[in-house]
Amino acid sequence: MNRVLADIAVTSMLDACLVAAQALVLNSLGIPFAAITAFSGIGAYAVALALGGSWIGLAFAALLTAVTLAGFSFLAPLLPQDRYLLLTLAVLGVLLATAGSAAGLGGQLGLKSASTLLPPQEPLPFAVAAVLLFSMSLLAHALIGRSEFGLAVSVARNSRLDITAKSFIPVKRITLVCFVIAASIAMLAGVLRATYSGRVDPNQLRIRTAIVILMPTLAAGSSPLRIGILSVVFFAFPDCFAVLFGYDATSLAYIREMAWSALIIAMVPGNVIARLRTRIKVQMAAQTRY
Amino acid sequence: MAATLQPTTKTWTLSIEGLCKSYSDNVLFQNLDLEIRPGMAIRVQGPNGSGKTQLMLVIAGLVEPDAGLIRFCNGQELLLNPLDADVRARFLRYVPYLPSGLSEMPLDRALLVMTGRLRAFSLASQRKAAAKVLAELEAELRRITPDSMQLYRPLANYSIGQQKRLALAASLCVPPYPILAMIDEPLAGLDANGIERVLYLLSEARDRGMALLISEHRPEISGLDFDGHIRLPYRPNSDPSPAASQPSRPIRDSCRPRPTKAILQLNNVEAGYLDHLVYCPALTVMAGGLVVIQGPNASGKTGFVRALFRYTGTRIFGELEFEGLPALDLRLGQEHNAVRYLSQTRELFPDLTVQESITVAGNGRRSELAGEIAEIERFLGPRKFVRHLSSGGRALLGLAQALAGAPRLLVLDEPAANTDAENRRLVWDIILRVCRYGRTAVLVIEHDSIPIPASAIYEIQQQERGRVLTRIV
Amino acid sequence: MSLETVAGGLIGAAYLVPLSIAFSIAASHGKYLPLWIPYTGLLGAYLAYAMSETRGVPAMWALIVAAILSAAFAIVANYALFRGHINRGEPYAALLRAVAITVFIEAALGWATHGYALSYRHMKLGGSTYIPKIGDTLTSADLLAILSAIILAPALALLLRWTWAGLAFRSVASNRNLAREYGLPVLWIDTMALAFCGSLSAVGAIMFGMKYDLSPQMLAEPTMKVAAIVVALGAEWPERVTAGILMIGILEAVTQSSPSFAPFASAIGYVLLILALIMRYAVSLRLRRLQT
Repeated sequence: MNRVLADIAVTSMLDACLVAAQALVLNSLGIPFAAITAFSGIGAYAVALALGGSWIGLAFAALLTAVTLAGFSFLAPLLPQDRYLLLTLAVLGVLLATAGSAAGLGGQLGLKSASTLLPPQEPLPFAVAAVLLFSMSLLAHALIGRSEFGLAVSVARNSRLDITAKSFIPVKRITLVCFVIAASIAMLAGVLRATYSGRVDPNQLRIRTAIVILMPTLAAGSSPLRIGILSVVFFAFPDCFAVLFGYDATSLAYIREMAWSALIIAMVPGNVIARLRTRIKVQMAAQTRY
Repeated sequence: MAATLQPTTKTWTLSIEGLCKSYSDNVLFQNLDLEIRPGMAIRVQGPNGSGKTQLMLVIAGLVEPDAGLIRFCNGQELLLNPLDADVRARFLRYVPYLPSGLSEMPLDRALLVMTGRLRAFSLASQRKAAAKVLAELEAELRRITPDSMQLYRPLANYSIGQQKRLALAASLCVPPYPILAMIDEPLAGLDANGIERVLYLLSEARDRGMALLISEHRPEISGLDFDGHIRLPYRPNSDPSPAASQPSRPIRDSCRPRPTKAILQLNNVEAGYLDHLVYCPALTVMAGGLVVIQGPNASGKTGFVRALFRYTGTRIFGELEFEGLPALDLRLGQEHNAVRYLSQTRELFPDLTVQESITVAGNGRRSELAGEIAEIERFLGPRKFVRHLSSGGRALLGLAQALAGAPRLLVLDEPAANTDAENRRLVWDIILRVCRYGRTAVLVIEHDSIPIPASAIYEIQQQERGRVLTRIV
Repeated sequence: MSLETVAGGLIGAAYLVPLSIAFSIAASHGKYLPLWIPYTGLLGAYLAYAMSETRGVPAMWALIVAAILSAAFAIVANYALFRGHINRGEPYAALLRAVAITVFIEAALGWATHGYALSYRHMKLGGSTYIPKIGDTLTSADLLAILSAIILAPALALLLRWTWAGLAFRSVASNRNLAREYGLPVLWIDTMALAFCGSLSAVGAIMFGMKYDLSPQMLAEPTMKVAAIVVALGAEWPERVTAGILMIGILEAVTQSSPSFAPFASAIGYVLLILALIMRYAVSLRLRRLQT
C-alpha cells in the first residue's frame, strides 16, 4: 500500500508541477499557453537520449527547446488569443508525430530511460524529489508574486489590452523569462518522470494530456495556495480514492474530467461579480436622481 | 547609454525628422519635423481620429512610425531608433488620458509603476519599493489631491480627475525625470481646482528642464504658455488649420429647409454615461429639419444620444415623444426601423460587399432616397468588400446604410469625420437633400460648425447643475 | 503517387466534409473556433448507435432522431454558453468553453462505454462496387461520402451567396448588433444556423463511425485538422474549406505511401495550422510595415 501511495504521490506531484509551471504563463502572464507538456516531453526524451549516449540527440533537444521557447514568446503578442492557444496545441501535435516517428526515438514504444548510473526506481525517493520540485515551483510563484518582477508580470499581462503599459516595462523580455522559468520546471518534472518510469514514449505529448493539465490550471489562478491544493486534489484524488476504496481508477478519472470540465464551463465567463457590481451601481445611480 | 540620456544639463536637443504615420489610407502625419529643447511646451491639436495620441505613441516608442528619425543630442548624438524603444520609453514618458492598464492595481503599486521606478527583474519586495516611492511622493500627492488616499484601493476606484492628477504627479515629480513628457489631455475631466493644480505641476516640470508635449481640446489654456503648436492631420505646406468641414465647392442648395411635423421631442431628459450625464430641458427635431448638437470632445454629446436610444449608457428622463406619441422605450431596430443611427465608429458589415450591405440595411423597404443611395453605391463600387474601403468610403457607406431603411429620424455622429474634401462635400450634399425631401428628421452631432444651414443648434454647456444641452441658434 | 493513393486520400477526406462544413458555418457565425460542434455530432452518433443497435430502431429513423437531437443540443448549448461570448466578441473565452465541452463529452462517453470502440452493424450501409481504374472497392458509405462532398459544398455556397437567407446569415455573422438594428431576426438566424450545424455534424459523425468505428476520441484529430483548414482558408468560404480538407486528405495519403514520410502523415494538419497562423498574422504584419 505504501508503495502504491508513494507511486501515486510521484505521478500526481509531477503533474501538479506542470500545472504550477503553466499557471505562471497562462494565469500570471495572461498568455493562452497550453503546451507545457511539450517541455516536459523534451526533458524526458533528452534524459533518455543522454543515458543512451546520443549527444547529438541531446544537442537537438536543447536546440528544440530554445526554438520553441523563442517561438512561443515571440508569437504571443502577434496572434489573437484563441489562435495562439490552437498554435500551442498544434505544436504539441507536431512533436507527438515526430517523437513517434523520427529515427532514434523508438517510435510508439519509446526509449529506455533507466540506468545503473541513476538511483533505483523506488517510489519513495522519487516522491520526495517530486514533492521538493513542487514545493520549489510554489515557492517560485510566491516569490514572484511578492517581488517587483511579479508586479512587472502583472503590467505585462495588462499590456495586451493597454499598449501604454509597455512604456513601463520590457514586455518581451519579461515574457521570455516567464517562459524560461515555466519550461525549466516542466523539463525537470519530465526528467524525474523519465528516470522514475524507466521509459519515455510519445503518449506524454498527446493533446489530450495537455488539455487535462489545462483544466486545473485554468481553475487555479496565480495564488500558490490555490495552485497547490487544486492541482494535488485533481491528480491524486481518483487514484487515491480507487486504492483506498477499491473503485475503478479509470472510471474515476473520467468522472474527475467531467467534473472539472463542467467547472471550467461554469467559470469561464469570469468577471461575473464585477459586472454585477456595475449593474447595481447604475441602478442605484438611477434611483438616487429622483 | 543610460548615462548619456540623463538630463544633467539644460543643453540637450531632441530632434524629430521626417516622421510619418498612416493607418490604411488615412495619413495622420507626414514629414513632421520638430526640435525640442529643455523647458519647451508644445501643444498638439486636431479633431477626433487625427492622430494626436498616435503621434505621442510613436515618439514614445510604443508604436513604430512608417518613416522618420528621432535623435537625442547631449554633447554626443544618439539615434533613438525603434530598436531602442525600451530605453527610449524610459526617458520619453507618455502619460495617457487614463492609466487604464494599471487601473486594477492598488494605488501604491500603480504609483510605483508610473514613476518608472519599478525594476522589472528584481526579486525585491514590491511592497517596500512602493512604500519608498510613496514617501517621496507624499508631499506632492497632498498638494495635488488633498483628498485622503487609501493606498490599497485599486486605482480604478478613484474618480477620473483624481486618477489623472495621480498619474501626472507620479510621472513628473519623482526622479528619474523624463526629458520629454507627452501628456494626453491633462485637463480633461478636471474641475477648476484640479486644473489649477495640474497647471502648477506642469509649470514646475518645465522649470526642472522637462519638455512637454500636450494634447488638449480646450481652445485656451490660461496659465500655460506654449512655445509651439502642431495641428493634425499634419501635412507639410498644407493649410495649418484644416477645419473638419470646409468643402472644396459650395453645397448646391443653400436655402434653409422648412420643417413641418415634430418627429422627436424631448422634455427634461437626462442621459449619457454615468459620469457624463447631460440634461436636456427641451429639444425638438421636425421632419425635414436639421438639428445640430455641438460641443467639444468628451463633453458627452455621443453618450447622450446613444443613451437616448438605449444603445449604451443610462437614460433617466421626463418625456420623450416620437411622431407625437410617447415613446418611453424607443430603441434602435424597433418601430420598423424608424430611427437609424450612424455612429462615430462607423458600424458596418466588413465581410459583405457594398451592394449587399445596402440591401441588408434596406431590409426590403423602398426609400425615396434611392437615387442618392445608388449614387453612393456607384461611387464606392458595388462589388467592393466593405473591409477594403477607405475611411471616407466607410463614412459614405454608413450614410447610405442609414438612409436605405427610409427612417423617420436619422442620427448622424460626425458624419463627415475622417473624409477628404470631395467625400465631405458629398456627405453634406446628401444630408441637405434628405432634409429637402421633408420626410426625415436629421439630428447631427458635431464638434465644429457644419457647412449647411441648420434648423437649430444646441450646445452642451457646463453650468451649475452640470452639463446642459442649451439651444444657441 | 498513384491514382489509387489519390483516390484513397480523397475518399477518406470526403468523410470529413459534413463535419468541416458544419464547423466552418459555426465558426463564421460565431467568429470563434467551435471545437465543440463536431462533438454534438459525436453525441448524435452514439445516440444513433443506442437506438439502432440496442433498441432495434430502423436505421433511417435512428439517423433522423440523432440529427434532430444533435441540432437541439447545439441550439441549447449555443444559447446557454456561447451567445454571450459571441455578442461581446470574446473568441478566447468561447474557445476555452468549447475545449471544456469536448473534454466533458469525451469523458462522459468514455465512462459510459468504458473507453471501448463500438461498431455499427444495423446502421452500416450494404453493398460495394469495385472500381478497376483506382484498383479499390468503394462501399456504399464511401459513395455517400463522395456524394456529400460533391453536393454539399456547392449547394451551400449558392445558398450563402445568392439567397436572401444566406445574405441575412452573413450579415449576422459579420456584425450582429448592426444586423439587429436593421431589423434582422438575429435569434432566429442563430437557431437555424446552429440547427443546421448540429444535424450536419450528426450525419458526419455517423458516417465517420461507419468507416472507423465509434470511440469517444475518434473526432479529436479530425477536429484539429478541420480547425487548421478553417484558420488557413477562412471560415466564410465553406467551399474552400471543403477543397482544403480534400487536399489535406490527398497529401496525407501521398505522405503515407512514402516509407520515409509515412509516420509523419498525421502531423500534416498541425504543420499546416502552424504555418497558416505564422504566415497570416506575423508575416502579413511585417509585410504591411514594409509596404508603408
